[in-house]
Amino acid sequence: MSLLPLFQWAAHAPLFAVMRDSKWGFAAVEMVHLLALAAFGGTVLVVDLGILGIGFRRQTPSHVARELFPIFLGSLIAMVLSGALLVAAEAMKCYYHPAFRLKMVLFALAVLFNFTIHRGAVRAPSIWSKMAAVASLALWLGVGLAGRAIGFL
Amino acid sequence: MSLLQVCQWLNDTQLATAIRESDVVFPLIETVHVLGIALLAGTVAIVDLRLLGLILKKERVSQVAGQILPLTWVGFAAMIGSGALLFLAEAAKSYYNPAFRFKMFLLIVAGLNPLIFHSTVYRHVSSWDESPIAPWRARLTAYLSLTLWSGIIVAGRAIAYF
Repeated sequence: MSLLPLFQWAAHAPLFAVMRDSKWGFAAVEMVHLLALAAFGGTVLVVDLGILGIGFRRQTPSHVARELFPIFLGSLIAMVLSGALLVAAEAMKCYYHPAFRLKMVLFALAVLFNFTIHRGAVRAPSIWSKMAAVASLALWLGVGLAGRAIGFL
Repeated sequence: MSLLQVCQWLNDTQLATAIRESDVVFPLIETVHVLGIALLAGTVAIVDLRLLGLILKKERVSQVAGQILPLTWVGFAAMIGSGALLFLAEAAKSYYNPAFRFKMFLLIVAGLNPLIFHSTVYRHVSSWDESPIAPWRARLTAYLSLTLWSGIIVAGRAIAYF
């Protein structure tokens, strides 16, 4: 099934008219997206660097990850919602944009990785969990770089 | 030499021109800047939320703050370094930008906040280190810090809109 009709609908939906037509509507949602990114990126960095023995060394990574999970999940949801609005404002540009497509693939991989392999890696510290931490950092960095590229490519 | 003239001079340096004229360098520095902010504001927020008793309640405040502080400094260095380069590339434009001016003001206040915190309430941290919620003056610092850093991120994004 093609996602094109969904993007075509978003591009014309009256629901998103404010996002398309107002400069500050778009800017405000971008600000929310960035605020959530700061919280999310901070959490990911602290947990993964903790697995690598940097930062939180006295607490186990699983304890740190559990304590920070509300921030992780909350900022992830805020990013997805604000991100969806940003896409709706530029639906057709995004649909055909290679950086956007790459970002969505990397994002899907990063989320999948986080809730599967990474989850196990946090629980049992080993050389594998360190590799999982590096992979997680690389995936999220890729999402960020691809996201930045949407704005200027 | 006035501040405007300094900005104008910075703006015309070779390095500034090179960053400004490259299609890739400016957004790459921006990416480093955002990463630096995530590390800085993220770690600051973790300490703030600990003071408010929302996360890591069973951990000592001094232990949370002490372990995380090196990461905060790395984030700070990345943010300031990349931010200086971004400013350099658009120094003349930034000088007149209201969002940029407001961001610099917020940065100074956000810097003063922990200075005051560390020389007052935090000096007696041993007496409240293990309590799940910090005293009200520490909580006030935490609220201020969360507000200021959010404001810095919002003002930073707004620079591009003026």
